[in-house]
Amino acid sequence: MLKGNEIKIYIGYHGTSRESAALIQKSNFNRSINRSEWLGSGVYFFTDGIKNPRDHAYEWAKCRDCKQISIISVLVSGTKVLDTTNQEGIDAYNEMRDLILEQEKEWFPNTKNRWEDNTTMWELIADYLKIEIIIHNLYIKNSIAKLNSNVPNTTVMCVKNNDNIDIGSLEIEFIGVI
Amino acid sequence: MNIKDLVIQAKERISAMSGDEIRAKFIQHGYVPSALDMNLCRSFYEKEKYSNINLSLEVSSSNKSNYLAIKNFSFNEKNKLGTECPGTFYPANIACNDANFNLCTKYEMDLAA
Repeated sequence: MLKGNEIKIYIGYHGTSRESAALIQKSNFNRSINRSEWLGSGVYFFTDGIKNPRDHAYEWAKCRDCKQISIISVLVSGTKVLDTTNQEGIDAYNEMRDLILEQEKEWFPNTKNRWEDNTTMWELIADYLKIEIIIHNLYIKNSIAKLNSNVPNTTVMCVKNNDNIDIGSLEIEFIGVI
Repeated sequence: MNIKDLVIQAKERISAMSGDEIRAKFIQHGYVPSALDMNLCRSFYEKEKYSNINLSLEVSSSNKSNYLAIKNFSFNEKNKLGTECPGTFYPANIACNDANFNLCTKYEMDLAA
């Protein structure tokens, strides 16, 4: 028996240049589609979890060489959320990954060890599960954390579709000059 | 919706998919099959990926005469990956392996067939 569609609401923090913040306010966020995206294509935010998401947003903008930094907050909501910061989410991810690797063996029998990147796996899992929002703990290097590490230091949120972002709730939390 | 329910629904959807649909889904999200497996996906590639492809071919200057170079190609908007990787494509009758992988770009296609 399926449960009802419970809407989950999150606050996303986005660090960017002052100019980009103004553009976002005017015409919404651009989805990232680079192959190197952590969790596949989508709009990326820092969110509550490991340490303060505002600090991460600030550091992110700083590392992007923005001279004038803006930190934006916005409400994100959805019913289909893959949250790998909890056990259920990790179990779901692993179950889907195993299934996809079985499919690979069955339908691409000659292709061995050809997973070019982790992004493809995230994209397949999000597509099959029809996920709207992914929440995941990551380690991101910044001006403070310069070490290479596999222990997460931040929690990120990837929103697959702008429809799940309440652009009317957007607030400029901070404007500063480096 | 509970993530466990989403997994159950996904499994139901996947079990109803054909092999072609599954292959297409993989490729759509950036999976890179071998040249031999690309043959299996040929109909998908022709219909979806390369429906608007613009190619000019010439034999590679390399002494491996069975390699063909593709120049000046472009993809339709559906293929967000293709624009990133021009270069040499592989004939499908040559398996791409560790030894010759450096000659092979990310995208391979059966030019011989």
